[in-house]
Amino acid sequence: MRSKSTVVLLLLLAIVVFILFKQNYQLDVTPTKEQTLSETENKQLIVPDEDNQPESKLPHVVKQQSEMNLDKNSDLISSVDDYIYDPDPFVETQMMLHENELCYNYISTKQSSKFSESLKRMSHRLQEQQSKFFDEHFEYCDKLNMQKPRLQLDNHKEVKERLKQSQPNSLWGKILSGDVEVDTLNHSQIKDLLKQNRLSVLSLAPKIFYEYYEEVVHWDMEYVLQNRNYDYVKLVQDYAQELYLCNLGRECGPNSQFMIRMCLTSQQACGLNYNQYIENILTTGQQSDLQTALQYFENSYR
Amino acid sequence: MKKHTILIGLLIIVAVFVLYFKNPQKPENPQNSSQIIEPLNIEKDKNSSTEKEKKEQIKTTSKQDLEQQTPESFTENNPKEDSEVDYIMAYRDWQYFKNCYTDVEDFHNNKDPLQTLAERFQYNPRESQNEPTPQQNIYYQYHVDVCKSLIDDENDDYYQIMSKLEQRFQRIQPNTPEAKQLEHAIKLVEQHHQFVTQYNNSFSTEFNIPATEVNMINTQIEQLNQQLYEVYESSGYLDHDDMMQLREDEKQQIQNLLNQISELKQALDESKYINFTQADVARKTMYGHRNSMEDYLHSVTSPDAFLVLAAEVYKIDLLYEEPQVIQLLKQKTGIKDSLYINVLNGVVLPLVACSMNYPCDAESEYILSYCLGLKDSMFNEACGSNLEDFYFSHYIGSNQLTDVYAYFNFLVERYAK
Repeated sequence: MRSKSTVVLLLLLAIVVFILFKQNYQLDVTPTKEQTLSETENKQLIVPDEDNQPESKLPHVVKQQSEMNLDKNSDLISSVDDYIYDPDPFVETQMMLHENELCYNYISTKQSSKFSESLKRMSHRLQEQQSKFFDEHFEYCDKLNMQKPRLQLDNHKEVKERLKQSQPNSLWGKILSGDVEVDTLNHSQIKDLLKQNRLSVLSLAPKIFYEYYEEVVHWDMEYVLQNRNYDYVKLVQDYAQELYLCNLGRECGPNSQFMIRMCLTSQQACGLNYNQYIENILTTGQQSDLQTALQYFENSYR
Repeated sequence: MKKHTILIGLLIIVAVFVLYFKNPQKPENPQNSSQIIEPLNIEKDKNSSTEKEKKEQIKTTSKQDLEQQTPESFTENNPKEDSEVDYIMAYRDWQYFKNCYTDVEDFHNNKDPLQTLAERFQYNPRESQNEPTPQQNIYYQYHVDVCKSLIDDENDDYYQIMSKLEQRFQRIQPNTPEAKQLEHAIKLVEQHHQFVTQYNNSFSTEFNIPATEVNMINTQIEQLNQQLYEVYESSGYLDHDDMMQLREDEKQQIQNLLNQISELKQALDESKYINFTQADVARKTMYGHRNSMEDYLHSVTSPDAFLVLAAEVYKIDLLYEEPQVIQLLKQKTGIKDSLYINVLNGVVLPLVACSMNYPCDAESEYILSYCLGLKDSMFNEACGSNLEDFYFSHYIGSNQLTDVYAYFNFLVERYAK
């Protein structure tokens, strides 16, 4: 009898230890290449300095080392792995297009007269700093095209065609391709997917799970921020999502898609990386709310 | 053995304790929590004294007892005649009716409007409240009565009524200085939209060859396309959709025609250009006019005119040069994020209007809109309140307050008499 109760107690203890452990470490994650690297050998402080800019004064966070954040001079194709963002070929192609949108558009159309026309139009509308930034950004795209042939920046058409031909082999790929309809997923399934804490999922999730982010995340966010101004909360939420992705290893330098958008919004943002943007552009109140919102995402995604 | 069991038991208790009290930041169930509708008690914050002082600068009316506050019943049945309405009232009526779309539908379908309100509450993700309070029902009835009073023909649809209200507004002559300011503000904004369109159109391409030559090339392209079609048709290609079945001479003919069309199109492309001189003129005109709108704001005492103008002057658009006044705002307030300024406009401009005696009380459009979810979702705390109290006690978060004050003070210092 005594030994039976000891066994039961031991079992209970094991369950509790397991639950405690699970809170700290996500167990049911299919590890991405980035995560495998980060968790085994490459833990390092975040360095927001792709262009040798001064280091951020914000608290340092551990950044997952991904291939995207390796030295810009390295050639991705020289990597031993055969994917950049995700092992699922459909997700991989979708991410390639999503994360390099402007470079694809620029390189694939720069020879055409229509492109030079629209470029002239755009640069005429832009302010000096914005115009200078875009000139440099297009040079960056040309360089990227040379350095990372795997992205096939000069063959936008073929990459789009490849997306049509690719067969998704993961749930996320099937959701992106439309094989699995978003409407058929319940909130718990969506939460599980988000908790995989993968860059390729979280980068596209707010767009794909728009309703979930509106119906669940937004209202939670209003609560944690103690703010019911919808537009304000939405803005902080978007900024925090981006910061979370940066910490997860997303490209967040001046030439990232997000910072390009910020530069178009305000010329003071041109040339900054995201950490610098937060420090230099956001007010103290915004920064404080951003940290709270980031904490919310850290709890939700891990 | 017994000791061993006690030790394990103790370990479990400790582990459960740690597990339970660990990580308190995340709300367990904010959707259902009653805390989610807990008012933001800004005055209890650490900087409460200074925050309160700042708030007093903005408030124009005293706090009212929300519980007892209900509207006086609205008794008018039909829109007033032109002679009975002044310019500003006609403008506000026209603007208010934008909230009445659902009500017109309900009138036509003989549906109880309170049922519509109840349905709106059935799915209310922001709050745990899933049915209207009696106070909300009273305010909704008040809103329905206001909408009804603006309809002169029950058979009209929403758009016909809107059109009639607009026409009534346009028929009335502005007599007071405030009304004249509103009239001028509306004109300035209309002109501004025209200048923006002209600026955008100024980037369209023009030809540096005479129009007759352009027409001639286009006619040639059309003729060649016709010939191409005839070759396809006579060769049977249109029936079989197979280039392999074409004879060599047909293939050659098609290639020749395609080459000619391509050359003509290229000639047209090469003679296209963007008239940047014209674009520069359009840009200067547009920004000059925007500056004039800003200049006029300095002399405006009408809150309606202020709202109409400030919404344009302080709006930041992507791909438009930042006007001087926006640069000044950023410099003076430290609010540098353009997207954030657009967000703040939605809160700060109404607060400035309130301080200029714009209706911001419990029966105002602003408050009814928040109380009943006419534009955003429903806020029970807004009902019976005034806009300032609602914003500062229930709506704006404490970390946003400093920026709201800074922007508000910037506008007041710049435009207050």
